[in-house]
Amino acid sequence: MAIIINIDVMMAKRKISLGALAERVQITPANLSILKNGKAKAIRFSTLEAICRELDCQPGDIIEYRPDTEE
Amino acid sequence: MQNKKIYLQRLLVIYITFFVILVGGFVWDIIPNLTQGIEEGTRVGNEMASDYEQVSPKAHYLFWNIPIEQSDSFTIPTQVENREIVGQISTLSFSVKEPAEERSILHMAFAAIGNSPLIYALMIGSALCFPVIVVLLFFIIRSVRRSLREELPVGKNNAWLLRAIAALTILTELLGQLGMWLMNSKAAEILAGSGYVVKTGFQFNISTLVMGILLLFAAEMFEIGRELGEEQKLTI
Repeated sequence: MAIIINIDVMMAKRKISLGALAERVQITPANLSILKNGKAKAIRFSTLEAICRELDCQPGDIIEYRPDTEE
Repeated sequence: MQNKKIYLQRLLVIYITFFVILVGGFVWDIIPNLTQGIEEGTRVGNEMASDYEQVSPKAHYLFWNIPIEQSDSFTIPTQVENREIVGQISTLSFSVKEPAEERSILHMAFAAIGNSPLIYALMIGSALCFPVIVVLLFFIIRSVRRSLREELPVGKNNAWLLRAIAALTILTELLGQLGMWLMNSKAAEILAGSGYVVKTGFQFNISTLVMGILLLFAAEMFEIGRELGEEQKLTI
């Protein structure tokens, strides 16, 4: 997929673990792990809002567009 | 899972109904026909063997439910005064016995239906599809019940099982009707000049074909629903 999630970079900057972020954002660690590993198919705005609030960042800091090579 | 009990109960009702229909069909339809077929087959086989032993081999073959387009009408006697009953034959079953000097006993055995091993193979092939469909249906019902009990997603292979049942349903109809068409054509040759005119057109049972297509559609719906469900699960 061309959309890359760079949430681990922001998590390292803010020194917050996966479990702690999951609790604050109110999603399961398993779902946050799916997001972090790039296996998610879609993200709700409410979830994105919560992540940006807890990591104190912009959506562009954690979401990146990288075109597929065949394009 | 919400409503798990209701879904399990519904599946159980379908399971039991299916089982009752199978057993009922077996007892009231398949066993009597099978018994009659075995008796008829044994009788014909014994006659063929006896003729073969007497060095005058004869081919015996059967035709059944041949549709008759045109036949002479006849009066049926009645005990009620001033009532007249006129009958006409619309289907005919008959057996043929004729010399078969140059055929092996095996060839004669497999040509017992319509004087053609191909017709025999088509009829047996059509009949064998049905138990396979029943077994596949049991697999699907068992898989869905297990998924409900263990609260796991329904397996991907159920779509393929449904597609297989759809294909077998259509195949059963096509093989059976092809066999009947060949048998009717042969019967028309044998009955030529007898006063019985056979309907030789190819006939489809449209409802069976529509059922096969509906099952294919159900398989696609199942697979699409499953894919959408998977995507929904991966929406964070």
